[in-house]
Amino acid sequence: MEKRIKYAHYSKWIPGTILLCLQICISFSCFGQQKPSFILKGHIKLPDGLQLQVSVRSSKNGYTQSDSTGYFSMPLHAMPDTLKFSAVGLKTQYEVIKNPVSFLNINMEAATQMLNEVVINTGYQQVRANEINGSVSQISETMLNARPGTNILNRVLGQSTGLLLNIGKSNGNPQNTTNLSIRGLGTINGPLDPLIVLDGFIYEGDISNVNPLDVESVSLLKDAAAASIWGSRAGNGVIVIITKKGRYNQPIAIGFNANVIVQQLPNLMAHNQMSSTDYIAVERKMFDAGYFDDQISNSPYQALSPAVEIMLAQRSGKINSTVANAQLDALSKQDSRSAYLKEFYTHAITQQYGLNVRGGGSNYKFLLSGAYDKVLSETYQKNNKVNIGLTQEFRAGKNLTLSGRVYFTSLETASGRPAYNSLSVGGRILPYLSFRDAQGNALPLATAYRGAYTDTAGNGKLLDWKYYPADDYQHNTVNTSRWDIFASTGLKYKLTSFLDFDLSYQYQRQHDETVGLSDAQSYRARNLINTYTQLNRTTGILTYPIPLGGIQSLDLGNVSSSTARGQFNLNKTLGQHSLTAIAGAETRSANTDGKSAIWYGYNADPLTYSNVDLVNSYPEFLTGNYTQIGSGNNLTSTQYRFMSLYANAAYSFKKRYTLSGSARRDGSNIFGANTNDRWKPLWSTGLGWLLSDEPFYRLDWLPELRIKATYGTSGNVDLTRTALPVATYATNSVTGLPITRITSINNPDLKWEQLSQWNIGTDFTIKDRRLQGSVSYFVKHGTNLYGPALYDYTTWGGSKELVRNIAEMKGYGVETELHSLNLQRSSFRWQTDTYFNFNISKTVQYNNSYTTGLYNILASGSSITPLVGKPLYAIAVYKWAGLDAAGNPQGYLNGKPSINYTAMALEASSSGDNLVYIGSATPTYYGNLINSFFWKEFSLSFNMSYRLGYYTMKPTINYSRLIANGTGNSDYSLRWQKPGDEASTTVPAFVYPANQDRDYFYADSQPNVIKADNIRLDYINLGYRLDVSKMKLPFRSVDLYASMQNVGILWRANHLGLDPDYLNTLSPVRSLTFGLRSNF
Amino acid sequence: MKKYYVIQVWMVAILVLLNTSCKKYLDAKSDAKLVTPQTLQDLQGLLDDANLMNLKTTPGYNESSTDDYFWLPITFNSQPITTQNLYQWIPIDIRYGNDWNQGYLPVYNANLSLELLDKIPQTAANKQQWDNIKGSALFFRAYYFLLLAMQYAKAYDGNTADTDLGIVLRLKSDFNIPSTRASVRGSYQQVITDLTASLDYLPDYPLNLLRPSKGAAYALLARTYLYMHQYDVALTYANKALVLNSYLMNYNSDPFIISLTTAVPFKKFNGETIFYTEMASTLNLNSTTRARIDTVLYGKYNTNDLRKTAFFKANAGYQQYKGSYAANASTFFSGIATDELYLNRAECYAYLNNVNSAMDDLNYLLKKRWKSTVAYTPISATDRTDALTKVRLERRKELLMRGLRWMDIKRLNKEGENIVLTRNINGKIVTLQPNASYYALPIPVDIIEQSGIQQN
Repeated sequence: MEKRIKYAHYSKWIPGTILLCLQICISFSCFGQQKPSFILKGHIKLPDGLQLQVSVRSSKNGYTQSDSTGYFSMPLHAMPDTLKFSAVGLKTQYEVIKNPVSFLNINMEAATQMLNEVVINTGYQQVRANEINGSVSQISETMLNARPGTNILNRVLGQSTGLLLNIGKSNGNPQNTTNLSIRGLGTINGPLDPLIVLDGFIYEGDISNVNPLDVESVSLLKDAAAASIWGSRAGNGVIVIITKKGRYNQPIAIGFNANVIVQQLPNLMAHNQMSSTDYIAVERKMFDAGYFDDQISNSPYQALSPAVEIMLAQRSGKINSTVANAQLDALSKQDSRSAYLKEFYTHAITQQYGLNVRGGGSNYKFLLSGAYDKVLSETYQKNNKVNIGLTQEFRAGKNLTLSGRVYFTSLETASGRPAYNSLSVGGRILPYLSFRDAQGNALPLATAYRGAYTDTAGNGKLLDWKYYPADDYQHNTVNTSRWDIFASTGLKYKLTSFLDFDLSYQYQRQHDETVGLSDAQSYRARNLINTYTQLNRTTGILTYPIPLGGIQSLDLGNVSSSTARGQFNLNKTLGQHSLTAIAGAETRSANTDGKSAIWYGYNADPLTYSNVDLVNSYPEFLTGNYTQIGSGNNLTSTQYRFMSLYANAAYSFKKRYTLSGSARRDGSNIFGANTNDRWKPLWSTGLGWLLSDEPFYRLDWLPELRIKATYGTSGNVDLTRTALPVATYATNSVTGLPITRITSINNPDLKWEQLSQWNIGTDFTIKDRRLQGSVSYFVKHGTNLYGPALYDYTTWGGSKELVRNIAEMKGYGVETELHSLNLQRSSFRWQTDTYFNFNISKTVQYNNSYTTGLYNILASGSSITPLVGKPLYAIAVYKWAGLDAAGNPQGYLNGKPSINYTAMALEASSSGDNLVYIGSATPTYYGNLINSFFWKEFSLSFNMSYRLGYYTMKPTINYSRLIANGTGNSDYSLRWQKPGDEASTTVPAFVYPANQDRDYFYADSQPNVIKADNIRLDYINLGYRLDVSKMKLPFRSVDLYASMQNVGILWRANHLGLDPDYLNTLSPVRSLTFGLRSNF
Repeated sequence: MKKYYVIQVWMVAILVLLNTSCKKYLDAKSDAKLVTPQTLQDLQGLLDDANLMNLKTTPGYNESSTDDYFWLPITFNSQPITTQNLYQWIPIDIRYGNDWNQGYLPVYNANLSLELLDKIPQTAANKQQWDNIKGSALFFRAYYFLLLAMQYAKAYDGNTADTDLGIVLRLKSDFNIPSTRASVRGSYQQVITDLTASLDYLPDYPLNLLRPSKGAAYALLARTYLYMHQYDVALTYANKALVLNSYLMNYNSDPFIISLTTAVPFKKFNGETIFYTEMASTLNLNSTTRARIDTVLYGKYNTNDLRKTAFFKANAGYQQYKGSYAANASTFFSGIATDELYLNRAECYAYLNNVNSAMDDLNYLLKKRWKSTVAYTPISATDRTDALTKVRLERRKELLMRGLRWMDIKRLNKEGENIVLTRNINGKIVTLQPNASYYALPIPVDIIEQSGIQQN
């Protein structure tokens, strides 16, 4: 009773709305008081080293808490009664009291493998999941293992809420390499990548260096309160990767994994390639209309397609029409797709092996790991990766802990064969290529020049000037070797019982060496040598400005970073109050440097090369134009520096109410900025309430309920945006003089982007842990966002746009995560994990007169295009009025059907009345549904992913592009051909010469936008755990697993059978994995 | 207590370290190649950036609109509609990536250099470099202002020059200053002011031909005054320029000639070149592969005129141009060369009724182009009008595809030459009448939208 009053008293300190709720609730619970008949006393024994208050809840007699030494007492009025002892991090225990007992001894054990008691590592500190107010998703090792593969980021997908892979988006931003976004977007033109943190330090290298087998868990820090501790680069969320470590007092254990992944051949035949017959018919039409005549007479050396060569030979009388038609007929039976598949594609195979040894004594723990990956890609690229890691920790005395970690990666990559559509003839992509003749000899491909011309150009004195794709890849190789070291060392000193000091230092260096070798037989070398060969036609003497032999290029690149950090950790519990806090300072530097060079006349054996004249110009053999020999020399060096002060504190009262806050100040050496603008303060605050811990809480079916709310700010700074004009130095190749070029003009009004985020959420557990889950609602608000504003480029013609703080965006969304145990029998279990996301990011303001109309998002969707009131990725199209009787596509002009494309484009850009808004181009609803079944030693799980509520533009035939650069599309076969066709097709008639405006109108109109919604079956995993107990084997466990990835699309909204996420590229193919995991 | 003391020492040490080293630490340059331009070397570098200042930068819309070339029907018919419209002098929707932005970019570099140069005191030690930057910046600004005026403004007419719309004269690097169009007189006056000022700073000869020099400034002044119909002043400057360089290639044999019959007959940076620039190829209707030389014009070259071999290449009965001084078959030289100076001077002499001197200059030039094995018969003129006609014809023959013809047509029409341009579009004749408003070519649409300046 006394305690109750005390609570009420304390509650005054708890702010606002919670206070009100609390008081109402407390007053309700007070009505239930009865006179005690018996006072139960007892002691709760906690696991070693733990000091916490345990809640004791009776089903009939109310509630109490143990004191910090473990003693408790509770008045009981009714019996029998069941007491429930629970505390965070401990296994809940029940005790039935039938008769009065004098003293009750309870032993509580630490909880293991309970979802909400996972420890979350934010990189700066470890927090229990239910003590953190911020929004964090934790992905465990088991979940990471669900997807095989060599890249850790791919394994994170589909195992949490908040993370979305943006497929097929391209934004001109260098900090957009992962295409991942956490909780939608927070910027329009700023960096888009989430920050990646490995074992507490920002990871600057290539994340594919990290072997997924070495990863223990991945946390996504999603809201501002969780991410703000990472400061100005955390605006897009943070991905924290934690690697495996040893444990104290653990006998030596060995873990082993081996698996192989075999991929299907890519489905090239499904690509929308135009048929060879159609293509040749178009070439015939162009040839007859004289399209190629200019080229043939002006630059007779320039490549012509095989079909045009035949037509030309026929026209000049070299072959008769029968022969010509037969040859064309033969061509029309060829298909580039099958030629590519046969010559350049294979089943990709990945082999992965991993071994780790871990263990620990009372003062020392370690983990030693080694892994080997061998990858053969679908185009025969080879990739060998070795990882070696050692993590150790050593307790040097009572107060001092030392730790160290070294992670080494070596990666060797060798280039493979040409990819589909990478080969062109005179710049044109052809559907009827063949790479070998019937006898299996490599055929030449006229990639730049006509064989007929180059054969005779030098009177036989030049090198063979033909390109043989089927062989050339052997002579033209790129090999990359990389090593990467990521090392860190730490010192932890316990200053007092509640205060630690951490000092840590991390160093990373990634070194890449790329050697490009075009040997003497390669087309590249022969072509360059021939191009510059000087033939004296009278004497017949040849001189070679580019010496005979091969060409070797070398690129060296280094990325290095170092971080030094000093941090105080405070962890103090005083009665019912507990405070955890960290405060620290950090400096970071990230440097890159690069060097490249080129050697001509290279010979591996004997190792020789020759110097070339890079200064003077030489006439090119075919054109006579004077050009310089390209120098491959280059030097680069960048150096970014950051300095931060940060603090984070969480105060919790009775473990029930948690108030948290963080503040951080970041500085960086932004170029061209005034020192004052280099510092940016950021902060966040949060409030958490473990409602189910309240004495009045009576919902037995919902034993755990926690409510939390956070607010915080983060920033974005793009290091390329500056207040002073910034120029870069280079050397002019003609004069050899240094030049300075302005890359961004003086823009003194620029400010940092600001992003704030609200998050309100709840975590809950239903009785018996049958259902656990969380729901959060968040609002993101970005202000002062950078945006390209059209400006009067009379001032500086270097760009039509100027970056200004012109935009404001708002995003909001809901995330729901449910884990249910649907069925549990003695040997059978079925559980379901459901992830649901709803997310919209809209432009609220964009101070740019240009972006007022739908015209800006006309057929857009692949890049962020801000338009007020619309999602950041959005699509509008021309209203469609069908094909007219002549097969011309019709839109609307002043509300009436029209084929005046120029005028319609004008109306679209002015009033926009003839456009229609379609919707978002990124999924509005997305998530996963994972069902897992366990039966005896078997397990089976499958993951379905859904992406809903978005649209995409489907590529179609563009006749101007077909004519200008040969880009075809299978829609050609659906085109209007005769009156009446307009009833059954939307594809316009082919006209020559093409009308570019007509083509773009059609491509950007309604028939070509499709609803992209789809549901996929991502994977099916099958596992079998060998029952080793019955066998005399040295293993503690053996797991066999098989998996099928990218199983297929289960449902799609479009009726064309298209994969809406991969319309411009090849869909990911199915793969099979077989593996073994074992511990001994 | 001792422990707390330790903590305090730690904290104080960290704070002190941070405060003292912060500023220095963050002052490091983020990219070794980056600068915020402030030194003389930085400024000279801005002006030496030939890819923005000289190469493929000068306006080409004008040459695309001239009568020196035509398209065969087959070429016309295979072009997209917009290009077909351009060919018929119909304005199209031109946006960024055009002559305007390429022409004003050097102006920005010049303005920025001039502004930053003001902050660097001129000393005895840096005088040479300082002067070169000052003179070069002024020259570049004038050079591009004149080229832009040749394209986007009407021809200079003393009677209407105050009201005719000229170009935007940007004299500061600050983009917040709104653009306004000066008058034609104001535009030409600015060119003259800048050029005259540059004479005090420029060296007689440049380090390389991509850099301005006093010779180039004199020659450009001569060109400017010629366009303003002030022939006497133009003559003075042409003379001054020719004092510095009067070299003409002898087409029979010359170290700067590779071979008259090859695809590229002249070497780059040949002896005639005073200042080197190339024409932008954004529109490029007159590209050597598409364009055929006007047959009447071609017919005017004498068989023994070596230019007939050097400048042209036969293709299926028509002629294609190959006479560029850029040593590249597809790049047009658009800079300043001595041949233009001789023709400027000859025109001045003729206009000022000094017929003999005019013919002397003309014959001196033509003899260098004449086959040495055949006797050269000097041209003579009966009177001032005849002399002017002959000089102007030779001007057209010598300077074709150099970015000068469009301005010549409009300035000569101002003097009453009544040149009507015609295009044969599949049998239909399209004409452009003298002094048509289209002679001030349309300004890019987005510039009109953003700045609100008046369209031509």
